[in-house]
Amino acid sequence: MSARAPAPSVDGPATVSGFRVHGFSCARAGSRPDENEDAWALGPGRVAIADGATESSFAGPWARIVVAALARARPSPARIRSARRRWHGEVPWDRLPWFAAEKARQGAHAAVLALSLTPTRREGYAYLSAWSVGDCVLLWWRGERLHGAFPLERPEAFTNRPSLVGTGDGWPLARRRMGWVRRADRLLLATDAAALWCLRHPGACAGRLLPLLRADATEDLLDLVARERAAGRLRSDDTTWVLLDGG
Amino acid sequence: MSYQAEVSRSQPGCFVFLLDQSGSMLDAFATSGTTKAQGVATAINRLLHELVLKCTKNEGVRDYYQLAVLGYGNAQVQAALGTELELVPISRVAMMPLRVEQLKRKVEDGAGGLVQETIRLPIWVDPVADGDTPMSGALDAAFEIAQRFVAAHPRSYPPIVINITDGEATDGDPTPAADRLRALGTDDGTLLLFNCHISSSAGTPVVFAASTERLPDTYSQELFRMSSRLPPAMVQAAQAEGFRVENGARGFAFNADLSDLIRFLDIGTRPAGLR
Repeated sequence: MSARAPAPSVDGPATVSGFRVHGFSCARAGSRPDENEDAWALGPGRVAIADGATESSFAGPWARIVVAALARARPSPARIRSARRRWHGEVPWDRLPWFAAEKARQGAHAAVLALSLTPTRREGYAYLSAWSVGDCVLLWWRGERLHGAFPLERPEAFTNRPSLVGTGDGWPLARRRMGWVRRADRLLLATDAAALWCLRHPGACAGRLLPLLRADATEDLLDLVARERAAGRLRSDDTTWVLLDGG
Repeated sequence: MSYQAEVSRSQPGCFVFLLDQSGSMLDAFATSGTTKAQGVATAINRLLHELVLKCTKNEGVRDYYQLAVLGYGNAQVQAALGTELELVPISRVAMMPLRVEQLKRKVEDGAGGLVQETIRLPIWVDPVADGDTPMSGALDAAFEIAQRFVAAHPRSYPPIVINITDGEATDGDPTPAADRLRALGTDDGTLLLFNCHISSSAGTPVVFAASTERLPDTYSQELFRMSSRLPPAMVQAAQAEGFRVENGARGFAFNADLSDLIRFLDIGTRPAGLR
């Protein structure tokens, strides 16, 4: 198992509005790194994370295209339409065998979470705006305590059929959260299996995961993932955590 | 707990389909006019198509499943998919349809009108109907195939064998061969043998029965006893599809028509989650 290199930052250094960014992503057990269908991207004051749907074809490219789009500007129908056109252009339709073309025509889908952080004149605070379709989760740590989670707050809230953003027509049903975050807060974006582990094991998340992310300790993170999967505590799925550390 | 293994490339699932190809399969279903042989071929082709698409990822097919389709009739058991009595990985199944037929149909265009759409139908299995019903021989052939699979994949979800027939075996009592087959297994449980009896009569179908109570004769009761119990996940799937399924229900259908057969195959090929 190996981790994918951190997502390229549109903003240059790995910070978003003064929050340092630490990312980790690895493929599910038994899959190659290039088969990882999670993606994340940074932009000016923005970060986006996506989890390509396993049942779809070309879901990995879709996840990468949509996070790149939402790391540049706020979600809008025009931006999603533009991302869809780009996905259609990237699928190698002319060299696909009959079954691959038929599956690709069904479209690709992904759960998506896009975040913007805006500096404010309010000392020690930034303004957060989050946009979510599906089960990628924002976990919000204040000190050692899990202060909140969005859009899913409890392990029981996860389902097998989350809403998804697709390459077909239509504007997805999204949820939004806005509010103030302290500069000392830690914001953790996670794809579904990774988020579920954090909600079930908040102590391990705060005590083991967050320090490893802050240290960019990739090998130790891979060991953590392997151990937790072997113990049955972390579902074997593509696993991504992106930490925004204001402290 | 049994029947929990996830299907993956390192722990593939296994399906073996046994198709009755005896002469009586030329008779039509009572409800559709299609011959039973054509109906079975259509149902199997539809299922193979769905499995190929399910396993398709990007430009290729991931070998989550290995399949065999055997036909039995005219005193012999032969491969109905490929040329050998062996499992074929789903990626190879995708590349080996005999032909791809095209069907044109009209669908709504979303603006109040109709537009013509061309549907591609890959064909792997052609209808065959000739001779007698060597069902015991087919079950023995399935045993050989499944035995090799469980030896190679001891941690996989157990093989699922689905026998589709319209009548009694003509090569002896099939019960010993069925018992021997059902004794195979992996760490995740024993092999699942499901039997679907299809009929030309307009009799009342019995699907996923839990007892012999409503079965009309010794033949149907024998087929019932040859059938494995449905694992919990399949019970839930059947209930979700609207079947009234009790505890102890078996993968068994009697007097099924073409629609029942398609739904039976759909539920019977749903092992634990594909990962």
